[in-house]
Amino acid sequence: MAKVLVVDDNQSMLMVLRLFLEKAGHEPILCYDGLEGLKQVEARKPDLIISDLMMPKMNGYQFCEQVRANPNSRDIPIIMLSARYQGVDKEVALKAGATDYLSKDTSQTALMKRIEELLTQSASSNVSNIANALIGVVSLRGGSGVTSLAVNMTVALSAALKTQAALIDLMPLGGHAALMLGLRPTSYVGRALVGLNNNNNLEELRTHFVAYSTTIHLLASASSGDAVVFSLDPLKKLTALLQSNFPISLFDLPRATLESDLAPLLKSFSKIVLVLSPDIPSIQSTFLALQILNKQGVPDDRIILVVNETMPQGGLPMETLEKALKRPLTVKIPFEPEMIVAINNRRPLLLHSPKSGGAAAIARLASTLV
Amino acid sequence: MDTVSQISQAIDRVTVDFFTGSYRFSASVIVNKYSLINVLRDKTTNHLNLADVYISPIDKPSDMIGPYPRGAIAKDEISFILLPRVLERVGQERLQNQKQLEVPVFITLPFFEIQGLSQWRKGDQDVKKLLLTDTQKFIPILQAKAQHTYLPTVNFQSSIILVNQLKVELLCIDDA
Repeated sequence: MAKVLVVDDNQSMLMVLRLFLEKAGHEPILCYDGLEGLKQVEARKPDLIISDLMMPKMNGYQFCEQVRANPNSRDIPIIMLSARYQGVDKEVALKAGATDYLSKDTSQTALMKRIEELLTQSASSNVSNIANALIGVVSLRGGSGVTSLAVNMTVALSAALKTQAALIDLMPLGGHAALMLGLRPTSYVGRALVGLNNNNNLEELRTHFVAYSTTIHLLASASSGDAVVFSLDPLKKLTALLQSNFPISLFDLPRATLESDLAPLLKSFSKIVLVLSPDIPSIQSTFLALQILNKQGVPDDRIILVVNETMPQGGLPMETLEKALKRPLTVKIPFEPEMIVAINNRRPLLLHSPKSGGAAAIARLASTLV
Repeated sequence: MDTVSQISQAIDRVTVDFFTGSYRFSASVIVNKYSLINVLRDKTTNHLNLADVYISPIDKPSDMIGPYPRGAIAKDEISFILLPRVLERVGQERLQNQKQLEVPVFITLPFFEIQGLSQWRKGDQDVKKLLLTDTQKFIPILQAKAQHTYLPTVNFQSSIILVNQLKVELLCIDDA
C-alpha cells in the first residue's frame, strides 16, 4: 500500500481519485489546495503525488516547484493531472518538476497503470540505497504468506540492486521456498549449519546453496528426514558470514524463531518484516511477536509491519488493525489472484505477473527496507 | 472507457480552452445539464457564464493569471474553442451520422490559422455554405491544429476545435 497525496480544488475529482486509489489498495491523502498539500507532504511523506494544475492560492506549477525545492520531498514522483492539456502546458509542468503530465481525459485504467509504474520505479530507486542487509520475514500466525513474501522480496531486492541476494529458508523441515522457485536442492540449511560448526568457510557454505539465477541463491529447507533443532551459535555464524559476503540476505524465519532459544538471533537483523493477515487471531499473534521483539531489544524502527491479504475479501480494515496494535502498519499487500497461479507455476509472482498489483506492492515493500 | 474527468465532472459545468487573438482563457462553462454545443447555439444569450477563469496572454500560453471565480465571455468575441476529448467524442458521433466526407480545410482568423478536416457533402460546389449555416455558429474542425500567425511556436492541437463563423476571414477546402 502506498500513500498517495491528491491535491485538487475539485471535490468530485478528489472523491473519484480516492475511490480509484482505495480500490487499488493505496492510502489516499486528500487536499483542496497546494498550501495544504505542502503541509501534508511534510507531515505524511507520501510515496506519490497527484496534483491538479488549475488551483486557487497556488497553481500546480508552483506546488511542484515547492515540493522539488524541499530535500525531503524532491524525489517523490508527481503526476500532474489537468484539463488544460497542450504540449506547452506539459513542457512547463515537466520543467516545474512534474514526473508526468496527464490529461483529465485519461482513462481510469491508464491513470492507475501510470501510478503503479511510477510507484514501482520509485521503489526500485529507493531500494538501491540498501547494502549488506540482513532481513528476516516472520509471523506467529500460520498461513500469512511469509514464504511467498520472502521469495518475492528476494527477487525484488536482487533486481533493484542488480546484485547477489541470498534467501535462507530456515524451516528445519519442509520449507517451501525451493518449491516456489521450482528448484531441487541437493543440500539444505541443516547441513550448512553443521558445516559452520566445523569451520567458518564461505566457500564451504556456498556448496549448500542452489542457484535460482546468477544473482539469487537459495539455502533451502530439508524436504525429508528428521526435523533438526537449530542452535543459536551456528546461526549467528551464518548471519555474520552472509552479512559480510552478500549485499542482501533474506531469511524466511519459522515462528519457532520467535518462541524458542533462537529469539536472540532476531537482534542480528537489520530489518524484521512482521507479517500479519487481516484477522483477529493475527492481531493477537502480532501483539505477542512485538512483545518478543521488544524483549529481545529489536528497535521499533527495524520492525516493518505488513498486512498480507491472503483472502479476497472479509479482512479487517487497516484502521482496525492499527487501532488494535496501537502502531501504524507500513504496507498492505492486496489480495492477488495471480499469486496462487505463480506458486503453482513455481515462479515468483514478480517474474510471473510483474505488472500485477501484488507484485507492485511487494516491490514497494522492498523499498521500505531502506 | 470512462475517463477521470467524465466520472468526476459535475453535470452543470465543462472545462474548456477559449481563444481570442490576444488571450487563452481556461474556464468552466456553466451549462446547467445541457451540452456545451447547445449552450453555444442558444440564441437567447450572447454570453457564456464561466467559473474558475484562468487567463493566459497568447504569447505566454502556459502562464496563468487567476483564478477568477466567476466571469462571462461574449460568444462573438471567441475565435475558437478547444474541446476536451470527453466532448470531442460527442461531436464526432454527431458528425459521423451525417454521412459526409471529411475534407482538408484551411481557415484564417485574426491572428490564427486553422488546419484540419471538415465535413463536406460530395459534389457540393458551394464552399460558402459552410459559413452560412444558421444553426451552427461554431464550425467543428476535426484533427485540428491552430497556429498563431505571428508567433508560429504558439500552436494548439485537438481532435475537435470549434471555430467561430463570425471570425472566419478565409475558408478553403481541398475536395480533390
